[in-house]
Amino acid sequence: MQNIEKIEKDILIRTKAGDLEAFECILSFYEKGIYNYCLRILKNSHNAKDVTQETFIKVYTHRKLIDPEKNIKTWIFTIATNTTFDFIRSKKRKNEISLDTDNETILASKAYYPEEGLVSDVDKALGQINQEYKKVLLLFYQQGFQYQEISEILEMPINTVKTHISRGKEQLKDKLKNYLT
Amino acid sequence: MEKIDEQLNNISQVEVPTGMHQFVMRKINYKKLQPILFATFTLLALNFLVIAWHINAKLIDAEFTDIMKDFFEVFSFNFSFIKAILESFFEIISPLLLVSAMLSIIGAIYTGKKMNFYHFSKI
Repeated sequence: MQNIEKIEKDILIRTKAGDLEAFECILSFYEKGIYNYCLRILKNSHNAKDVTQETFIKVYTHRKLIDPEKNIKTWIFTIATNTTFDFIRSKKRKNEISLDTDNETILASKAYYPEEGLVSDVDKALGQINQEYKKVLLLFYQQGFQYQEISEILEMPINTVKTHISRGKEQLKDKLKNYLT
Repeated sequence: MEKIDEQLNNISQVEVPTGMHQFVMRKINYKKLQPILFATFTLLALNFLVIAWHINAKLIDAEFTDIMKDFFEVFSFNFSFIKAILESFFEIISPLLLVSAMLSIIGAIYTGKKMNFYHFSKI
C-alpha cells in the first residue's frame, strides 16, 4: 500500500515538473471516470468528450497547482465539474441547450440514451432528477468519493451533500417507479 | 432504499471514445511545442520577408522591368539564349539568396501547417 502511495506521489511530482509520461499515467487512470461523469451530466457523448478533453488540458496547464500530498482525484473532479458547468452555461447563453427540468424530461423520454450506451433504468431515471442531486449521487456512488471530498469538489457544506444524496435517492426512487410499472 | 443504493453502486461505466486519449496527448504536446513553433514560424516568415524585400530592391536597381521588356522583344527559344538570360538574372540575384528565400517560405508554411494541425484538429 505504501509503495502505491509512493508511486502516485512520484507521478504527481513528475507531472508537476512537466513530465508528459507521468501526465499520461494520470490521464489513463482518470479519463474513464471523468468521461462517464460528464456523459451522465451532459447526456451527449460528443459534448462529454469535448469537456473531458478540456478538463485534462486544464489539468496539464495548471499542473503547478498539484499538491503531491493531496488527493489528485478530488482536484481533477473539481476541474471537471467546473468545466462541465461552464460548458452548460456557455451553451445556454448561445441557446443551444436548455437544462431546465422540463427539457431534461423531454430529452430523457426521447430515447436519447441508447446511442450513448446508457440503457439501464437507473441511467434513464438519473437523467430525470434534479441536476444538483445527480452530481452528488454520481460522485458518491459512481466515483466512490466521501462526503468530505464531495463537499470540496462542489464547494458546499457536508450536511448539504448528505441532504442532496438523500433527496436525490428519493427522486430517483420516484422516477424508477415509472420504469418498473 | 437499499435497492436504490445497490443499483447506484452498479451503474455501468461506458468506454471512452476511440482517439480521445491520443487527442489530449497531442494537444498537450502542442502546448509544450507552441512557443518553439511560434518562434520558428515568426523567424522564418520574417527571414522570407527580408530576403523578398532585398530581392525586390535589387531588381528595381537593375531596372528589371526594362530587362523583361527587352527579353520578350528578342525572345527566341534556344538553349544559348535561355542560358544567357539565366546567367544575367543570376548576376543580379545570387542563387543562394533565392534558395534561402525558398527554404524560408517552405519552412514557414510547414511550421504554420503544424501549428494549424495541433490547434484545430479534432478526433
